[in-house]
Amino acid sequence: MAKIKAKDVWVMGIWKENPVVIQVLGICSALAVTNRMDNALVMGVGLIFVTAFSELTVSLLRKYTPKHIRMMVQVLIISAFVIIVDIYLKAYLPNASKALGPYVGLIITNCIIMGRCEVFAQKNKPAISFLDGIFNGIGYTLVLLIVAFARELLGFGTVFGISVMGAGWMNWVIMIMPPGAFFMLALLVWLVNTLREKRELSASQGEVKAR
Amino acid sequence: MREEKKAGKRPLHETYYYSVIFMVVLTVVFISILAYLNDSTSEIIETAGQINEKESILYVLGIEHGSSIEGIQSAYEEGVIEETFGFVAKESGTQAFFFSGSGLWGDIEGFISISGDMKSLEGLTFTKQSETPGLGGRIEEMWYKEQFRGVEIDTAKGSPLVYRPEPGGNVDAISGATSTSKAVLKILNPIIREKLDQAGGGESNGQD
Repeated sequence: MAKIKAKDVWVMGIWKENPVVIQVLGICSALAVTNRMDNALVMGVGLIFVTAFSELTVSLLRKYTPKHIRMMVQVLIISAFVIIVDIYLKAYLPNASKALGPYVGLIITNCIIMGRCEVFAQKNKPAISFLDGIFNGIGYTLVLLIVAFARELLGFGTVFGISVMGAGWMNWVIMIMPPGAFFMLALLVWLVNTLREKRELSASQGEVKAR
Repeated sequence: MREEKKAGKRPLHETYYYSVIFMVVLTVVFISILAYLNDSTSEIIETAGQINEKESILYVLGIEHGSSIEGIQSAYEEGVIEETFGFVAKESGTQAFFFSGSGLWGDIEGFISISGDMKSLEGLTFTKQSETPGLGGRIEEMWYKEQFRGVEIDTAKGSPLVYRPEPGGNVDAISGATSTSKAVLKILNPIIREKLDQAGGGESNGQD
C-alpha cells in the first residue's frame, strides 16, 4: 500500500472524502444538533477528540489485536473515550451537556469513528492515524457549523446566540424544527457534490489536453 | 509476540485464550481509567446539581439573583427558608413545591410555586425531563414556563390549569407536543389541588 502523507490526510478528511457530505456518515447527529451553532461546535469538538484518540489507540494496539475480535476492541475503545467526553461535559460544561442531552452518548454510534478506525487506523501508524482522526473530525465539524449557521441565522436570527438580524426579523420556525435540518443538509450535499463534479470534470479535461 | 509462525500451530494472536486475555486486560485498563475519572469529578457534578436546584427554586419563587455561583448561593441563603413541605420565600411568602411524574418518555421533575395566600401560581420550572428535543423538550423554554406565572387559581374548579382554547383555559399547550403538554398538566393539577386542600382546611371556618 502506498504510504499516506500528512498532507493527503487533511485534504481527504476535510474536502475530498469529507465524512458527512461525501461519505454521508454521521448524518444522525448532523441533523440533530445543528439548530444552534454552540451545540454544533461542542458536538464537533467532542467528535474530533473521540475520533483522534480512538484512532490513536486502535493504531497503537493494531499489532497485538487479534483480527477476529478487532471490532469488539474498537467499540470498547470508542465507548471509553465517549464516556470521558460525557463526564468532562457534565463536570465542566453542564449547560452544553444539558443542551446536547442524549446525543453525547450517541457519539459512540457515529459511523465516522468506527469507519475511520477500521479503514485507516487498523492499517496505519499511530501518529498519522491520530491526524486522520483530527481532520475527519474537523471535516465533520465544519459541515455541522455550516448547517447550524444557516439554521440558527434563519431560525433564531442569531449567530452563536448573538442577535444579528435585527428586531424586524421574522424567525423561520421550520429551520429550528427537524425538517429544517434535512433541507439544509441536503442542499449542502447537493452543492458540494456539484462543485466537486465540475472540478473533477475540468481537471480530467485538463489532463487530456496536457497529454 | 514475534514468534508467531511455529510449525503448523495457530499463531499466538489467533488462539482463543490470547483473545480472551487480551479483551479482559483491555477492559480492565479502560474501566479503571473511567472509574478514576468518574470518581474524581463526581463532587464537581454534585455541586453543580445542587447549584442548579437552588437556581430553579430561586426562579420559581421569583427572587432576583446573580448568574454566578456565589450570587445564587447568597441569594438562596438570604431569601429562601427551607420547610418540610417545600421552600418559602422570606419576603413574599410564596411557597415552592417539588413535583415529579411521568411524561411521554420519562420522568418529569421540577418546582412549582403558589403565592402565600394560595390565590395564584407564581412560577414553574423543570429540573429533569427527557421529552423529545425540539418538541416536548420545549417545556423548558421561557415562554412556556413564564405563562404559568401569575395564573389565578379558581378554587372551585377541579383542575386549576386548563389549556386554551377549552373553556376556562388559562395556559397554552405546545403545538406538536400534545402528549407532553397533557402530561405536564396531569402532573401539576393534582399537586396544586392537594396544596389548596391542605391550606383550605384551616381557612374554611371563616368562609362558612
